[in-house]
Amino acid sequence: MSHNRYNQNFYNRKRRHTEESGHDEENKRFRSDGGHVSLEEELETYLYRVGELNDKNRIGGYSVESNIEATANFVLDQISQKQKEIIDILLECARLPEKLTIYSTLLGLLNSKNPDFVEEAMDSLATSLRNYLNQAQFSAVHILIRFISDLINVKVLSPKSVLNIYEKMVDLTHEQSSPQVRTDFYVYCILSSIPWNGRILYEQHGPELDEILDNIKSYIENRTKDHLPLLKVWSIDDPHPQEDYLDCLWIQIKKLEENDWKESQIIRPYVSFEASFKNSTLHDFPLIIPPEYNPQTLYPLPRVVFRMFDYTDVPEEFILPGCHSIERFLVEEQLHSVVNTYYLDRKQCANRLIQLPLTNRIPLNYMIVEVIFAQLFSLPRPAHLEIFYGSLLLELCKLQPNYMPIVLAQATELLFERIENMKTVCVERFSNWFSYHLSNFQFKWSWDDWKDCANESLEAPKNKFLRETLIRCMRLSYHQRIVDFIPESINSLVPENPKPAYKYVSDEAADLEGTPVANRLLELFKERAIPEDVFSALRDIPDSDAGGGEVEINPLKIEVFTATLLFFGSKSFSHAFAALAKYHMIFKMIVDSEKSQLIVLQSLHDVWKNHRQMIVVLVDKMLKTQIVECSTIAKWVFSEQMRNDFTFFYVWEIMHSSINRMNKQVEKLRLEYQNLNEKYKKSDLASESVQDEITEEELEDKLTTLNTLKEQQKKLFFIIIENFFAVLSDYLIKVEIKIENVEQGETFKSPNWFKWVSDRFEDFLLTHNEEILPYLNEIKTQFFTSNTNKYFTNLFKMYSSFKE
Amino acid sequence: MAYFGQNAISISAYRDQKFKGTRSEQERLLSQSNTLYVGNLSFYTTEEQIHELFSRAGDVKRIIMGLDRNKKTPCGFCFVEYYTRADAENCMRYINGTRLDDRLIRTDWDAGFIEGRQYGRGKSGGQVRDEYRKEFDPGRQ
Repeated sequence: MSHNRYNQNFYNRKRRHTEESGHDEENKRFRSDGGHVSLEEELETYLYRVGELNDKNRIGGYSVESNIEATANFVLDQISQKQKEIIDILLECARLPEKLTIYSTLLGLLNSKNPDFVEEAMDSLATSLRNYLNQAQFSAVHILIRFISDLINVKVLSPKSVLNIYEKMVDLTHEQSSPQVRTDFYVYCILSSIPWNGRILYEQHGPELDEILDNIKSYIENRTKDHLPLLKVWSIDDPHPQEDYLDCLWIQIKKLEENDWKESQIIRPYVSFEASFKNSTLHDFPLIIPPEYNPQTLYPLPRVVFRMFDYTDVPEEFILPGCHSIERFLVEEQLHSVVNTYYLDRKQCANRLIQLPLTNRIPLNYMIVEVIFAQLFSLPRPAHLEIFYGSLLLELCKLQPNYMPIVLAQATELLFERIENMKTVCVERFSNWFSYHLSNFQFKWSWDDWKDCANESLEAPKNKFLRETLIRCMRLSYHQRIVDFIPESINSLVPENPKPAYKYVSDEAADLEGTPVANRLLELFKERAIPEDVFSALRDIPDSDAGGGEVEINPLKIEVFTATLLFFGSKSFSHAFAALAKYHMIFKMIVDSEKSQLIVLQSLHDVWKNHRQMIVVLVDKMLKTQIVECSTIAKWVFSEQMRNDFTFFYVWEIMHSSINRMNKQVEKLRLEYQNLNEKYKKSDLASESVQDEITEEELEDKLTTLNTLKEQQKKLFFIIIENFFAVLSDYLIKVEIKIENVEQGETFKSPNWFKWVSDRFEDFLLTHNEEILPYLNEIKTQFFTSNTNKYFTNLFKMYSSFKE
Repeated sequence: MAYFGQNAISISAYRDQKFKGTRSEQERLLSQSNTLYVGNLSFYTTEEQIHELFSRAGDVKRIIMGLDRNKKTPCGFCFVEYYTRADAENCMRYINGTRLDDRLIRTDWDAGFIEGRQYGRGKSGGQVRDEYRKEFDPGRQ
């Protein structure tokens, strides 16, 4: 395998073309109008593709440098007629992080011939940077700051003008009222740009650079990092310390400084053109001042650096840069950028990742895998859909069938070995990914290697991971398939056959009070009876008098109806949905309270206890069709019936999806209200547009609905928090007074059980932080007393500092 | 960035020949649709499996299994409708061309399900492509 991307591309040019269908389509588009290509299209293609030697349409010779030069000359010829268009394309290109130095080289060449054009371009760049800042588009800001940082190297910008911007950013660290997430972002912008221009700043502006670094040093030393444990994938720092991202980058920058600002990772095509830049005009980049603090702005959340490999994990011929070397940062940073730029096209993304330009003998595949898992496990949520990462890994395996599967298998083993210390939600993501991945490889895996965990307790991490993974595998295939591929040694972990359990046809049916009605209902359902007939058959189960003329619906009625209907619709999701829809009105008539909603959920669980996916899907359906409410689902999750299932992953799938539904509804209403309010304000101003005039009443109604829903949302959060406090306190008290597993059957209250449950609590708080944090003080008043266990006070201390 | 990521979700060359309406109407529906046609499924793949895979891209509204017109058994295709266009696009991006039941499945935009389209259009009742298929395919027998 060659380690110089440019050579590799050169030799593999032909082969890549047939593989990169994405590129070919783009090329086709380029010539799609019957051979006629407009100048704009031509400019766009040349500019986007500059420096990519596998591009058929490229101009210039067989080196990146000659391609850049040819492109610069082509652009120079068009400036007189297409100046605006060229600047617009360049502004987009400036946001392609992995080609940053290529574009700075290009701008350097343009500047040496046409400084007036570059002056214009810099003004536009400044405008666009200010816009991104005001719109809080922080990743764009970050990339553009780095771009202008590199423009010092090509004699486009004066170092002083870039230092001025850094200084303005550093100044924020002295502001008392600024939250840490805000200052963190600007400090990160500077630190992650300095590897590009540190050397030239050090040579020409040493004292100014030192001052900025001194300021950053004292900032770094004084930051609060209470939140850090919440963001760690693993609970221990062995073998890899999980550092705060700024702390880690700071150490890397210090090491770079010790090395006189020389790094060996960035490929700098401009070095060959130094002579051309000799007489270039230096521009002063307009001063950029960070916008005032605005509490509405969502700044990037703090992160922890995820590492899973060190040099002992990779083959000898490669050298994995140490965790504190700047090269490790630079490669990781570029890989992250490629993923975040090309995530909409998994094929292109995979291609760009394996073609990352390298100067050192770096184990690229290992680093790619590490970066993808870093994103997948990122807390509270991954930046992109989990299935994106899964499909990206599949593409990578396709592109490098001899390397990537081996690295992935090694990664899987490492993750499995360390699973005891892995955060629950990451174990869940790992399991979801692994089952999906295996379903694309015929479930081939050395299962027998994991046989030891078959004898562990049900709550033991490895045992649980494996059982949950097999459940997921079954959801993607079928029960017999699992039975077929699982070796005998771990047979005990195979999930139950997901058949319905309907007690009214079982051996015990004869002794059950509900059996006659259940049998009658089943007949009626088969005859496609109308809801009214079913309802009258249900009358055979008498309701009781609740006093005061009120009737209390007999729980047995709800139970028999729900169980029988679900059994009738047990053939598939569609059958179940159709049955629920047809007899929806009966639910509406007999399910009138939280208590009766709980009976519906319990009956559902009784019938489908062996088919967890069915429970997930049906609970969701019942929520959507308003048979049950979010708050009831939450109570049911913590109820007696669910005690044995409590740490199963599907339960939390249900919990999170219910909360998400609630949050989505609130968000939808909030937007509706906002729009209505804007219209109202407008119609106030222009009274002639009577047609869509909004009355004050309408507006108030909307606000009332919104507030009612927000109350419900708050109620839901408080129910969940209250229940978590109860179950976790219960365990903690028992530990304190050293009653361990005294009661029979209480085996689930083990340290492992505590880990699964407390992790779920933390994940709940973290995932829904945007919605929950506003209630923080209220939560503290309601749930904290002088006796509150240290676990909770610590947790909430970490939680409060999360967005400080 | 507008320039990237459009290939995976662009409309393919296939057009439903039995579409009732003008070509431009069809194009418009395709470009706004939340519904996908899913092809090359095994006859044995169930709705549950499809739901498991496809809900990883977003919130699935409904799945309509393609059936053999005569036997009323699955015949290797289905329609998946999402609540939002964005979720359907993610499905095109990340599920199209990956495997389910060991088969590479294909997803394509559909103008929206109409009653009757769940049935195979081949003479035998199944899909036309199975009537032209020469090699043995154990997943589609």
